[in-house]
Amino acid sequence: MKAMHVLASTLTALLCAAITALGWTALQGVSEVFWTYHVIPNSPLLIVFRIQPLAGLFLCLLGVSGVLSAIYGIGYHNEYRTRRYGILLDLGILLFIVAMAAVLLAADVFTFMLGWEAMSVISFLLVIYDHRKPGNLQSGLVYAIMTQIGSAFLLVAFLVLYAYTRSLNFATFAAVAHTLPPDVQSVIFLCALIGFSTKAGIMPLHVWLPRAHPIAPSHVSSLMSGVMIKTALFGFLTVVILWFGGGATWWGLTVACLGGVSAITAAALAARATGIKQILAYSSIDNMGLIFLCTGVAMIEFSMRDTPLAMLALLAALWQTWNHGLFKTALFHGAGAILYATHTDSLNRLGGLARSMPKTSIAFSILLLSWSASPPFGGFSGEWMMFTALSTAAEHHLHGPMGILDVIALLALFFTAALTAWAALRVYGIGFLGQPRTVAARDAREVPRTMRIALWMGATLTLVSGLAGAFLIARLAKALTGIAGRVAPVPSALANGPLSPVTVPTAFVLIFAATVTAWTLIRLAQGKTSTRTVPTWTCGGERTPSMQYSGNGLSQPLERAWPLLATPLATQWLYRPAYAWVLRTATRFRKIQSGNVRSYLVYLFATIVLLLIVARVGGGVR
Amino acid sequence: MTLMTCGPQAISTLCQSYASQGFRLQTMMATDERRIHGHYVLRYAFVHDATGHSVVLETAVPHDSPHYTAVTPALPAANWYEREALDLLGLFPDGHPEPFPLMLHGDLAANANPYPLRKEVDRAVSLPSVSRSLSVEAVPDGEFEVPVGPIHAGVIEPGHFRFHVRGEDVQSLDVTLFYTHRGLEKGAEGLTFAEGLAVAEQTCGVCSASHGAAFAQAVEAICDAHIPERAMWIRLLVLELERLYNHIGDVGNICAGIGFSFGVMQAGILKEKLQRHNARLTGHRFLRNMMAIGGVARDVPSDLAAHTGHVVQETMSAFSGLVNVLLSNEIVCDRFRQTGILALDVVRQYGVVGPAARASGYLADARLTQPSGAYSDKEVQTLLHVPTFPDGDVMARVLQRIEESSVSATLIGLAVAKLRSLPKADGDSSLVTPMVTPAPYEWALGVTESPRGENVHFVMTGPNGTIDRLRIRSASYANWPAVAKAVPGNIIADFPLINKSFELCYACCDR
Amino acid sequence: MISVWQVLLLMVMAPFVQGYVQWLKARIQGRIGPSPLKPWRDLRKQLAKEVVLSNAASWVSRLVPYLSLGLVLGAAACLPVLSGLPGPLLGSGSIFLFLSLLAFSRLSLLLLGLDSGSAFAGMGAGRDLLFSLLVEPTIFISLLAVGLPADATAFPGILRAAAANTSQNPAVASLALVAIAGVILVETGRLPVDNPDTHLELTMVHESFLLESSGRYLALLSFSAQLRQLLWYTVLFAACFPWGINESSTGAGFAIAILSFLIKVLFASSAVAVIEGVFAKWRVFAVPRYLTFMLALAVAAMLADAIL
Repeated sequence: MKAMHVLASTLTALLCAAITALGWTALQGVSEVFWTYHVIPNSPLLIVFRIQPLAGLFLCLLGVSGVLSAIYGIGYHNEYRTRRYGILLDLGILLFIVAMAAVLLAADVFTFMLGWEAMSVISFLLVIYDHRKPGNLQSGLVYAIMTQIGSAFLLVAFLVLYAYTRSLNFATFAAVAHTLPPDVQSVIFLCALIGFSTKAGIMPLHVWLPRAHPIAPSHVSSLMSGVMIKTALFGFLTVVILWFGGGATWWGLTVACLGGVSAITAAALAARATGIKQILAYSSIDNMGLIFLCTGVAMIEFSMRDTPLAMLALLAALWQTWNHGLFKTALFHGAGAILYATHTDSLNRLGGLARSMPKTSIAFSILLLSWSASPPFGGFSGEWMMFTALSTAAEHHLHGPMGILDVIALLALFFTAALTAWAALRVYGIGFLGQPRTVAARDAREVPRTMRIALWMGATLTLVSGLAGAFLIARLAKALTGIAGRVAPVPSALANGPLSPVTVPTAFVLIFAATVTAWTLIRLAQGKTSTRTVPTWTCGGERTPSMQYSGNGLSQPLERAWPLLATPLATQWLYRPAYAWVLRTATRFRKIQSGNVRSYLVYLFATIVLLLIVARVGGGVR
Repeated sequence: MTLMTCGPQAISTLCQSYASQGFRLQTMMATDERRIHGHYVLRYAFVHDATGHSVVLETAVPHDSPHYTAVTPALPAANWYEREALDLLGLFPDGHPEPFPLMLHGDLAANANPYPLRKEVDRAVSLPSVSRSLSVEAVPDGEFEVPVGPIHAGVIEPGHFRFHVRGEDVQSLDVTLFYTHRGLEKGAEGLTFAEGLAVAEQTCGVCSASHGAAFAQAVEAICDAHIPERAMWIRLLVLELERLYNHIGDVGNICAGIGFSFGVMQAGILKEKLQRHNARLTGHRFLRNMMAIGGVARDVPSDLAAHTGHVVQETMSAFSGLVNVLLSNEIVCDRFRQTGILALDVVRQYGVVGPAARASGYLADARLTQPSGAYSDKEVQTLLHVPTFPDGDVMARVLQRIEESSVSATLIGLAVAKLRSLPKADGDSSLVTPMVTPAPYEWALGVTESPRGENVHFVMTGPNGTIDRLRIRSASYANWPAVAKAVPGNIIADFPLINKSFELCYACCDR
Repeated sequence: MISVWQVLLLMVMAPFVQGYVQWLKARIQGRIGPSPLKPWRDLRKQLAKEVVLSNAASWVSRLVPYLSLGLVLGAAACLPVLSGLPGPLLGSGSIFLFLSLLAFSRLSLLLLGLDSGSAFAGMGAGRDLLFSLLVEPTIFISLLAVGLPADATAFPGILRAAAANTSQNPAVASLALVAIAGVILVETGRLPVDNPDTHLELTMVHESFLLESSGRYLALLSFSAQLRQLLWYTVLFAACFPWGINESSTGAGFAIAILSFLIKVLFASSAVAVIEGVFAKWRVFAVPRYLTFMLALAVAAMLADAIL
């Protein structure tokens, strides 16, 4: 059993390494390569794959995240060793990765939707792997319902495209889409926006994300937060930029606004949630929000024919996608390590882990710094790119209405950054530092070596991304040159900023040198000094673990100062009323209904697959 | 004064009936009278603040089964008194809601406590001190405790405050005091009245005069003695000077709670001037050694009295300038308003006294309700416009002190005029009425209004002009439980300000 | 090379600035006050003392004192103090790098505070995070308001833009001045936001992180705090008072630069002392309102750019 499991993990890791290599090749800017497979020999049901530069980044991310998760899974699996069919989890992850790769490589609607649905169903099953825990099944169902609603909108978008182009081929779409009537384009855009932003966790369609990500096994959460939600971004970029070339200005405005609101709101919710995995899930929404914000700005610039600026914003979005994917994958691994060691991820019940699991905690602290955009880590590099893009745009439009929008976008970026620092500090300061608050936290031990290796690999990679950011951004910029048929030189604004290959490494070396010098000087001046340890001062009284700030305590100032910011508004104002309405309506129709929700979901999947087949066959016959 | 007696099971009902008529629990005296009657005695003293009518309800607690029905469930004001009687005398209040130690910071049952106030216990015996069990044990998920004290970073007396908070918002507050319990009451047993006066004056640093006066008044009441007129006016002068320097100093201290250094420094200067004058007037910056049983120890010659009037006038005009700056400062007013509201209900329930009660709209002032000496003078009563403020917040307590300062200044002016017009003292001995040795086991209450509120001294005589039992109920003792009630609902950063706005004393509470 | 000298100058002056504010404040309150050199003496004393650590402390408590100094020094290397001509040491002095380094040092300080598990540090951390939520956007927007018209997101460019601004666009200069100065009071833990002299643990913000530090660690942390304070003053000078900075790297030019820097520091710290003398401390939850106002001023400066 154990051997099977290691074998499966190794296979997954190897597959992911191959995917990384494929992605890296794609980033070299190779010309598109197609593979075609017949589902049934000599039938018109084809599966078509192709490789293109935009997918390269996402494939690299999928590959790296997959390798980390596979290694991590070897040790993490112990957590589930009492379960029967434990191998199913490995198999599920393998299939999940394959499905995501299929989405990234799809060259026509059928392949794409097949991959997309497979990705959704497998991830749903993985989310409810722990279905015996109370509430998990319900959260999983929210995910399933939301994701099917999203898929339905995507299908509509594709069917409209089909209606006008009489093709299901992506290449045809790319060639013809921007010639469609503007109203039709807008309908497609809106459907794609709803469909993809549901998956990407953009507000107000994010509700499934903070429910589903925390309950999945941690390496599944990693893949979902690190990669899966990015596949939605890939799809969205494919539609709006590769096919429509950015679309009308209001498209970009809409996307930027949704992104900005998502970023701030989710960051505030992350700063106040109590479970570490939930915090990370909210933080994924806020990062996707920032990425969509930059995407929106890029779309606006495309629509205003300012290609260099648009490319800069797009580059920023993609670079943050990479960095977020990386550190979020590893952070979820870290959260899994805490769960593994203490069986809880509630901040109010943790504490003192830095002393009981130092190796894990140092790796986690590096990831935390990356998350909170501290130099010189990957998160910092990503945020610097976004800052550069947005401030360049603001400077460019300083005297126009767009300038105000860019300033607001900058504000959103800064607020999100400050809130993210708050969330990150809470996770580490409450979870890892101080005294253990419970017996579970006190008895925590280091996690298995493979889990630590994965964590340290993630930490190292995020440091490398930060230090070598300039090279990687340059590579990305080169790969994107010529996107949507436009030539985009790298804007000069980058030369001194994040694209300067020396700045960040110099800063790193200087600060390191200053720190070491200070240490050495003091050591030399002082000689050997004594250090005493005493209990933390409690004004002369006895000390108990309850005398430390709790997770809720540290976020309470936020809740008190801005109660609105810290309320899940979408749930309160949108979903609860909608749910109540559905319930009321449903009771009226109860007589003609029977069965449970799951059977309806099966109907829904079946309908979508059927529709796809009909469309495909119809297209082929013609 | 009415005296009523009842059984130990009926005391609760009787107290409740008086409380419901608007009587305030002034103090409760637990005494070991086994040598006299073979049982312990509890005396609950009530006063009706509107009429000045006072009642003492007395009950005997049998020595073999020292139990009685607790009054606390019906009247929260009795809480500390009954717990103290349990700690020090081992009298068990049946049905008490918080039957754990108050003063001894230890577990009585576990320590086989030698109840120190019992007559057979030697005063050299040392008392146990172990960690106290707190009233709120379990901390709900997400809440936590913030411990402050007993050792503070500043020059502050020891008290342990434990906040139960959720972030900045205080949910509840536990106060542990009595770290400076010196056993003064035990120590006073067997002393002469003159020695007892010294003990009474040293109960508190900043309310020495009013404690001394209260003790002297109690003894004088037992002896049925009347003090010379000039001594009466000197007592009034000293008591009002004490109030004045305290109130001005307290306004400055309150400014320290909001980091307003201008207010701290200016009030500090004024207070220092007054205290230097105190030293000149009485030989002591804190007005000690001025009181004597049956009068005062030292005369205030008319030129010094005139100078006093002068200093007070100067101080008041400077103080009104400071007050103007303070009350026109937007930040200061914002910090003071709506902070630490003490509800009138709480005042009534807990028998709060002094400026704190008056700032919540409850007029209780011993100078009005139970005046003695020069305070019963008609002229004084007409000038004694004791203000009240309805809001109960920090601002109200600040305004209360400001207004009361000017009342004190007026009274000082009157006293100065009287001292100048009255015939000169014929040596210090003419300022004291000679006392006869009182009969043993007589008791009386002495009540004065200190800067922090009403001080009540219970004195019971022993044989040969000694003290058998002294029970000091300082204003701080009555008001501390109310502080804990004014804090929940505020943010924790406002606690220092709220605490300073009560400016209670630890030493005279702990004794 | 000039960058190194600049950093050294800041390091030498930082404790003195702290001491000067304390001294002048005492004078305003009518006290004699400690010598302005006291912070230097304190540092020497603390360095000689043994270290007492909490038994709950982890490696964070041993690393952060050095790290936070390193980060502040890194930030110092981004700033133009005497010379605006040769690019400062780090990345041409990008404001993003500068503010990120300071944000990192703040984060490390908060972690240090929480490391000992003291409730007071948690309290300070919550408040500091609440304030930083508005501080960072305000300082970014103010600096961008000064720099963006000249296409500058780095300090040398901001310096030149500021020189042009004061004559051409006084609205931007004055709005940015108020916003930056207002934020500096928060960042340096001054009244009316935080009381640096208080012994009341319950009201502390910045001091609360250092409650558990001692010996050389306390010396390092206090020194970093003093240095950070001087950095903020320097940011204000760069954005609003660029006068006297050496553009030609001549000897006389440097003399003028040093002199003008000293005068500016003296004025700024005197202003801080006066403010501390006459202000009371705000309620904790009044500070966000004040900061929102400062942010509004910064945005107004940005709009003034767009309109004027």
